[in-house]
Amino acid sequence: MGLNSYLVVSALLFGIGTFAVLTRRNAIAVLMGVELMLNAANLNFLAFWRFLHPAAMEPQVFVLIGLTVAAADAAVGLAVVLNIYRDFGTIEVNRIDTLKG
Amino acid sequence: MNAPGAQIAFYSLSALTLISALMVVRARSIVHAGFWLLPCFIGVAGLFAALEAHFFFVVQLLIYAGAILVLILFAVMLTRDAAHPRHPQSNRMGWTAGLICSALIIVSAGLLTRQEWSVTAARPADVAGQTRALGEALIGRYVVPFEVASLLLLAALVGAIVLAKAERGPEPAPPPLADLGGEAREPAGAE
Amino acid sequence: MNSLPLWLIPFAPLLAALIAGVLVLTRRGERAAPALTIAATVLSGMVALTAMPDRAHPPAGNIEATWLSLPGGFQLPLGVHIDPLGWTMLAVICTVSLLVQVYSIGYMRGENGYARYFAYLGLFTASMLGLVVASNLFQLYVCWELVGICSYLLIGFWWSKPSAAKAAKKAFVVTRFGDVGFLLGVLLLVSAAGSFRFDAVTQTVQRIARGELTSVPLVSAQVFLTLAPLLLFCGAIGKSAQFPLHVWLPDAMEGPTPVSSLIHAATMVAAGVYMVARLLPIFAASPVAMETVLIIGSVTALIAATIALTQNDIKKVMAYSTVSQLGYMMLGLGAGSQSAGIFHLVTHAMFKALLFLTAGSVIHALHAAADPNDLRAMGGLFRRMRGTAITGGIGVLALAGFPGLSGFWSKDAILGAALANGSPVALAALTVAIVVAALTAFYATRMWMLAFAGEPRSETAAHAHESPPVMTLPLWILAVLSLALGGWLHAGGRFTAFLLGSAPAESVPFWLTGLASAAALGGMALGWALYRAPQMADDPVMRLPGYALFANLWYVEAFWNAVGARGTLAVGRVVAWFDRHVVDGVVDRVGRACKTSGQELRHETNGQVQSYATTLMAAVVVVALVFTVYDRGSTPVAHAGLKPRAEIRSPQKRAKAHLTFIAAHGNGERGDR
Repeated sequence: MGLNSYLVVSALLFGIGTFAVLTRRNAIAVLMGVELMLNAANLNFLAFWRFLHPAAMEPQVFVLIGLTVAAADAAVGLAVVLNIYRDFGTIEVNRIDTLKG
Repeated sequence: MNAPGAQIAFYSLSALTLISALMVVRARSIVHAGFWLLPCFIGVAGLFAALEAHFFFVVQLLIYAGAILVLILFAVMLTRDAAHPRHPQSNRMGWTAGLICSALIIVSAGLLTRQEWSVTAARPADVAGQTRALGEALIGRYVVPFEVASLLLLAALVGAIVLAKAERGPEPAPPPLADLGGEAREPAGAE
Repeated sequence: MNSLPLWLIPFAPLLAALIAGVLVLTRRGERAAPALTIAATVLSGMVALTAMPDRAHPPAGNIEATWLSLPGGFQLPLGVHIDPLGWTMLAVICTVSLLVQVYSIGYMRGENGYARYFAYLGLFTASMLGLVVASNLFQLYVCWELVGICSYLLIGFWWSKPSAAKAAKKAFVVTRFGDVGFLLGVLLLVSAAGSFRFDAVTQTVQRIARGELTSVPLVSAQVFLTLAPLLLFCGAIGKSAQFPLHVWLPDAMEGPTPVSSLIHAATMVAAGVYMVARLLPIFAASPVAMETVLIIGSVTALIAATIALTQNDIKKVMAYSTVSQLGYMMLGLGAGSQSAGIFHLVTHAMFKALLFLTAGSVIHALHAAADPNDLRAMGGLFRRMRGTAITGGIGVLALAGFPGLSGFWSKDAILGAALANGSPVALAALTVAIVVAALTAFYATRMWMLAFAGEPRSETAAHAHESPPVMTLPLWILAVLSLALGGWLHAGGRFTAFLLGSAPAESVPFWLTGLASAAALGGMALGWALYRAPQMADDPVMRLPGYALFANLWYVEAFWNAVGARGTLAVGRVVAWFDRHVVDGVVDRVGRACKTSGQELRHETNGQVQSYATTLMAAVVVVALVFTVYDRGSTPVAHAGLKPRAEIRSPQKRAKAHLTFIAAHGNGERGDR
């Protein structure tokens, strides 16, 4: 399939991930959305790599590092969620509004 | 690349990915949502394979489906008490967010597809070749990013431990939410 | 003859006024104030004396300077320029101002604000002098307004008296009303002439009249010729108290009597006459304007004379008399004779100042009475205040036009000018003038008889005594001038020759002189007869037909109250409504909008991370859209010798070109467009 197909798929996946980030109440669900977005980004990268510069290694390094970062992000994010759970007693995002005002 | 087999593979993998992703978003129960992530990641891995990025096919399965998914499920388990399935799982911004996301999708897909990419007919190297090249790149030219990434992982590791560690004795029971109006808390179960 | 620096003429009294103003703040220094201003006035007079011009030789010391150069080529000039007309005015102003200041030393003795009074007088003298030596419309206008301010300050000298404060405001506002037209006229003239200077302006008007210049700003040339002098005349109507803006002058009698004498008889009110005389060539270019001047002058003279008949306040009689005589001067100017108008200005200054000062002397003597000005409470003062009575009598004779005295000659000149003009309007004005002459003689005599003749009608009158010499000396000096100056100036056409450079062509026909004299003598005789033994309960004047109209001031006051005062208030109410509801409304709405929008926007910072994220994503979408819309056809990346992709047909070559491109430029480039 052509490059455009993969780009569309990655765009859709990104959009779905964004939707999750913006709408879900559970903080962990938000993080799941973030993972979806990161996946979409990686997909995008690899699609470009494959169709534009398949011989280059830079895109792959990029994706690898991106994947690494996503993993680290998930780990730390979930740790933070546990912390919030401990402090606020809830992990519903719309209850944690100390930034209000 | 346009062989019918490839097309079928692409469409089914995309369908798998996208439908799973949608289910992740729409699932009522957080546990279900977590589990829907699995086919999603697998679908993405499949797409990587379709893109002949074989190394990443494996890595995706290992890291995402293997590690990150498990991590997420752990976190879900640890915070299950706070997830009440009775409450709507999305906040009040459903329509707005939907609109914005649709716009986002349309704009970005539109922008991307309208470009005249100079697609090359070259094929990537085979797995061994790719992996070797990647390895050489990581240790050769891109050793610094590689090392930095390791440092990042170390920091994340330490940070996660510090953050998740119990600070004061045994964990107190989470206080009941005030606006439930006397509703009994649902034990276990989904969000 | 070498003259002293001419700028001293206006500046010496100004400096004296400023120092006297400072002296107001001290206690002991007050005595020095009159000495300063008198010395300054004397100095100005002497400088003027040394600068006496004749037609052929303007004084060497004429000054022209530019105060300000405006972009667009306009210059605001200042200058001292003395020609015969200006010099005549200088002589009058310095003389009368000096005499009044000396008189005031006695009149204002013991008053609060002694130094302030002299400071104001000095300021006024300086402004008036500046006005008459001005070489350009700008300076004239500035000094015009300055004398207006001084008049306001001096009328309201006793500002704690409500009637005085009101009178001061009235004077200022009414004259300001006329000044609007004046300013418009000045601006119109200046925009046509490109300069403020008198010579430039009159030359421009004459060129327009001759047809050499046909394009004028804003209006057609024909309209301009009539409009400009009429607008200028508005200022004169205000300042010289012509009908219908004469209403401020009688009220101005609230000020101290020497002030009335100097400002409201001799000098300031004459400024309008001076202005018309100075700019007479502009008026002469338009027959309509000249006729207007004639008509207004004669109407004013008549109306004021009839009102003066009915007045019982000695100063008010004189005030209306001044208005009437100013009308006379305008009549002379409107008939076309600058010399007749100015001649009467000079003689009138002398005898009217004299009459006011005698009135002041009487008032001063009767200061203990409830209303010292009231003629009905006077009487029999001839025996008690002989000097005042005699000088007052001379003034009355001069005012009435008794043959041989100065008033006689100047009125004669005016009548002659009207006759020489010959137009129907002028002849009608002539008739009116003769009637007015009779009325003038009558009311002047009435006034003198009521004040000085017969028996005292009140206690204070019975105990009156003569004023101190510092007050009577100026009276005598002015009396001499009222006796002799007119005849001296008239003899051999001396005055006309001085003013215009040549003697008048023909003298006034004898029958006219005789007629005028008969009118005057008749009026005087009637006045003497009726008021020999006055019984105030039955004032003969009251039996006159039309008395009610005259006594009610021809209802001009009532008219201005209704239109001017109430009309302005009504406009003010409309404007106030607009201000309160529209302007304030807008401001209030803006304020409320800010408050409301703040309250609404407050909901945005709700602490919900997801709502922040939503806004962020929305912004991203918008920015992406903007870039899409505005970034079409962005410049292609330079290819450094490579052909554009579309031209490379073969896929292999395309791939090769692409790889070469990457090799040359590094990775990460997106495809070329």
